Amino acid sequence: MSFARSAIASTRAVVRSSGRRGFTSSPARRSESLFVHRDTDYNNPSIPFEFNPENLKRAHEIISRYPPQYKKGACMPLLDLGQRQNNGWTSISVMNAVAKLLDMPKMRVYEVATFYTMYNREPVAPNFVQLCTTTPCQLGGCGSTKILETIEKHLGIHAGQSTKDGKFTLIEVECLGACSNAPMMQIGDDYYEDLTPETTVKILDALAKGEKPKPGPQTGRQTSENSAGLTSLTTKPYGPGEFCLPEFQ
Amino acid sequence: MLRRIAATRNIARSVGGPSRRLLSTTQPRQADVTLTIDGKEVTVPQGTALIQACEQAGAAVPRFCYHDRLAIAGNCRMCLVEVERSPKPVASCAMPVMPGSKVFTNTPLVHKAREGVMEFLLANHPLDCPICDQGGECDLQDQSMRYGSDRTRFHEITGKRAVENKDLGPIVKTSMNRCIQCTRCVRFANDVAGVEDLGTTGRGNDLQIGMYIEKTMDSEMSGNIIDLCPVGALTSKPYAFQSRPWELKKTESVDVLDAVGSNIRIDSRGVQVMRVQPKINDEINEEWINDKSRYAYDGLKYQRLTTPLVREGNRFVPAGWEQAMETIRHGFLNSGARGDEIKAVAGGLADTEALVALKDLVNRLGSENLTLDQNLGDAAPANSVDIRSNYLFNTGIENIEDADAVLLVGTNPRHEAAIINTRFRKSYLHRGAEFAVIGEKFDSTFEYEHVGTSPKDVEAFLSGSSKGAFAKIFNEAKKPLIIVGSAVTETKDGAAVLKAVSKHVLANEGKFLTPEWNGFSVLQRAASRAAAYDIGFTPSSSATSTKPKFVYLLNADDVDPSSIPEDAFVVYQGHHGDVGAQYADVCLPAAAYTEKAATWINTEGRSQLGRTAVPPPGASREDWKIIRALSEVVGSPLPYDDTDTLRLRMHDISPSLVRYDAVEAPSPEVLKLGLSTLSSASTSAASSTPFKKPIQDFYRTDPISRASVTMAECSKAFTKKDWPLSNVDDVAQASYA
Amino acid sequence: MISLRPLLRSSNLPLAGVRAVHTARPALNATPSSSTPVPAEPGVNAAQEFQYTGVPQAEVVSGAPAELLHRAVRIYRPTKNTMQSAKGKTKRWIVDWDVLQGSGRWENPLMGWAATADYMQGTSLAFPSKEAAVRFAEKQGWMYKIDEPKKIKIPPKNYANNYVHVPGKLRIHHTK
Repeated sequence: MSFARSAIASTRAVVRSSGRRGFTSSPARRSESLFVHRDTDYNNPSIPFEFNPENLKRAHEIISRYPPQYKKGACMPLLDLGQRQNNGWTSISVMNAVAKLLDMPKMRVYEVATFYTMYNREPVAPNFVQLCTTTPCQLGGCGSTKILETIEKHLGIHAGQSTKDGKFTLIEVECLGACSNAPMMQIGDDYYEDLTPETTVKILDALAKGEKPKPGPQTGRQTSENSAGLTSLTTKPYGPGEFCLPEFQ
Repeated sequence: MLRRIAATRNIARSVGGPSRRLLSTTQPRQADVTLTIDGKEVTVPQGTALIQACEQAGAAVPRFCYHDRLAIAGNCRMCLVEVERSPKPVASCAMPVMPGSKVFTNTPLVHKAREGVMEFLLANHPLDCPICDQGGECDLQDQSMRYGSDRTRFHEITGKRAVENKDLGPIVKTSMNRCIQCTRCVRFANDVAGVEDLGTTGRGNDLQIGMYIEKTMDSEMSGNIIDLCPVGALTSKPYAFQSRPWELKKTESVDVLDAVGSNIRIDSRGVQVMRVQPKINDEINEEWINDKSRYAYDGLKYQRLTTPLVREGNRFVPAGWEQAMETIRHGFLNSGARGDEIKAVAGGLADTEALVALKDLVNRLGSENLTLDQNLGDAAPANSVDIRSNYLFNTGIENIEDADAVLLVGTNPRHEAAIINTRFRKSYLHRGAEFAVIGEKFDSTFEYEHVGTSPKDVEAFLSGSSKGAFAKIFNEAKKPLIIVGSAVTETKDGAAVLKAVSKHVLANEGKFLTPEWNGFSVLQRAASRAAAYDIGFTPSSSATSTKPKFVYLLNADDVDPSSIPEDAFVVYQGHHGDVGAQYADVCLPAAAYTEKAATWINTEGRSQLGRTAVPPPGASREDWKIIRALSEVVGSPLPYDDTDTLRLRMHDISPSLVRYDAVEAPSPEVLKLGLSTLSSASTSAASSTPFKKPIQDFYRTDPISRASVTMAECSKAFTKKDWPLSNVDDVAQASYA
Repeated sequence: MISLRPLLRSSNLPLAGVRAVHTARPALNATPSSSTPVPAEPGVNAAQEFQYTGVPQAEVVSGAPAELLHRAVRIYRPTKNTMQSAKGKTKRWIVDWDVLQGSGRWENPLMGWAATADYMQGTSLAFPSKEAAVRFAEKQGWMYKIDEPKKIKIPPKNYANNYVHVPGKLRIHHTK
């Protein structure tokens, strides 16, 4: 997970660590994702963020699921709501807005937002490509390594970077729970499974054109059914009364 | 066996019972639990953590995250012990005691487990002990002596974890590479200091302590996280690279920078105070001291009066003691001061011995003009100080935790008594106490209802006209508490406020004045005030109207310049060339609180004996000795030549002055008597002038803290919010720092 | 001298009373003269020798300067260091002297070393118990003041308290 986050977070750490070196035998391993907030022109507390009326209604619905004194329990769904409203990433203003809405100390929200990897604390492109490179995906199908190479070549970026046109962000992630349809990637909220280099390029091209390719397995199989065809339940299921005594037929 | 099952079932019921469980550290407990630890049987209250039971059994359990005065986190795993029939070692801090269990703290399994934990902790810990300020008093260092391996099995090519340092302000220096994520600092900031800004960000190996956004840790208690840190991640900025703990001479003494009388340990090397540490005293400051007590010590180095000074025209000329005394004698005689024209002004840092000597001297010279350097210090105090309970914190510092409804009148405990404020937060969090404030609003560490701003509002609130939620709680409270700030008694409205309060207390004496509970307290803010009132260092009514010709300023730096006539002869005795010295004709250098063994009476009337840590610099002398010498010069020698006879004299004045370490809690009868004098006093009607905070800048309240560089920085960072956060990118982060 | 006794607890026996001067070495056992003397083991065979006999004994023969009799010592048990969690060095009782006013310490102008005219400024004596310290001080004829250690009050603590349901308003958000 953390490896995947690295470039999204900041490349500064990398740049810095390569510069000055003290006299130690082992290199210092910088924390790969930045777990401190630095004010930037696109991410600072003075940028206003407020839930829009629709989301606010939804937020209050979520809050109402928790006991009134424990509305802090709604922190995670609200952060997600904020992330969705804020173009797919959780800015410091989103966190502050959640803290305010839930009467929590801000730090308690920051803790949650930095703990979970699916809160993007840096901006992402509209097509947020999360490619699973965990072992089953690495081994299944053509293997995720090939898919990664394809995407990198096709988009001209490395994992953790965004394309120049601002349409795609690519990261590697750990298991997304679709191992039977390996290799797979998640773009936005949709799973694209059973990828091959060709289908991957097709999906990316479609997305670049603003189309929305059909999510799910790209080989045409139904969800996670056996890719080699059905091995059981191949015959027509018998209907009611079949094989029963004649009087019951 | 059967009985044991029954017992466990009982526990299960009591733990699982959802009925009335309060968020409290001390729950009503049903029974005691007996268990065996290392073959030794101990009985502890039910609900105790196993680590506490081990402690009681005399078995030392190593720990990093567990701290006696913080909530339990259970994240360092160092306190693993073996429990019979438990498949794995258990973390003794997170494990409640179970009746009949057999615990072993010194078995091969335990050792192996702790060694494993230690190896993980050391995996990412830098090997920089020689340049680490924690060296010599580091828990990790200590415990690795026993459980640490002498070589590493950690061969990660990416190296050890590196974490950016945080800038927490002028007090706490961070070196986050050394952090072992025990979260003691986080829990302290949240629970005790009430600054919910510190936390953990990230996860797993990358978890780090910080505030996520870049800001300073804005708390007057922040220095305590340095003590709490079991490693060198949080060290002291002013003390950085100054000395090693084994070089220091440790003197247990008393803090005088507020009226709480926190117990401190002064660590000195040679003639210098190197640092001030808290001394554990559960009756006063538990284990904490505020940042002013801890870091104002560098003020003891600067702006000191080291030699007597005599004014010649526009400047001071250094003089010998004889010359200075001679000048005073001339000045005294030439001024022609007689009777009440001789005026003595005592400041907040005057010790009891000096106050007694000065009062004796001035009285012998026929004057009753003894004043304090506070607002309206020239007048007889609003609270009639003949009865002790009228100016003391009668409830007792320890007992305020029991209060269920607290009304603060014209006081900001966070600045006037930061240690008492932590107790308020404790009762707010764990006892469910409710608070209300009449006076200026302040940034508190507990939630309060603001029920007014002026003396009139006090009358209105106490007469029951308030309709707020707090008024109802206050009326129904079993242990209500009214705390009147010392600043209130120093205003014209003081008597009226005290009258209203005392009337209310007397009317509800069944709740306020019981043998177990004193619900009326006055919170002093200067270390010497309680002592001054105790010995009657107050002017007589005739003296207040006399124009003084000879003024003696004893540590008086907040004195009103208009109260010193131009033509009067002024002597200043004190340790700093602060405000008071500017008015003086002669300055006499005296010892600061670290340099004399003096008696201090804190706000609850507790008498404590400070101790000399270092000698006074230059020609300065102990305060009472100067006054004794002066008495010889002005022709009225005082009858004591050493501290013991002086303390006998103090004993004659009030035995409580020399009954050290004891608080003589006033009986309800005495309190009633005191309150009835207050309530029967003839006062003007309470005005609607709002109360004002007496302390605008917590970090600069007295000559010592005003001379301190660290306090100046704190004032800049925390009061003025003008701290240039060092950008981590710009500061060289050497691999060893 | 006598008048200040009430404050500084010390022997209430007359100072100028008969002083029994020990002629025998107190720490040695009365063993047959032929064998090597065995040092007394406290609490085993030396109980009697270490017992306070009620009269200052050592001041006469100790050779200590007479001024020492005018300087009160403090007997106290050091509190736990707040920087560390271990409780080392807090079980013993310390006897030490207050800094002597006027001759405490000064800095050597050349080297910056601290010099002192007070030969007791660096001395502190450790004893296993308060009684032992008191006995020693009395034996030496020193006035002393005892600082009783404060009782440490730690309420029973419970990990489960972090997760206890709060019926009313939540006053603190617990964290790791």
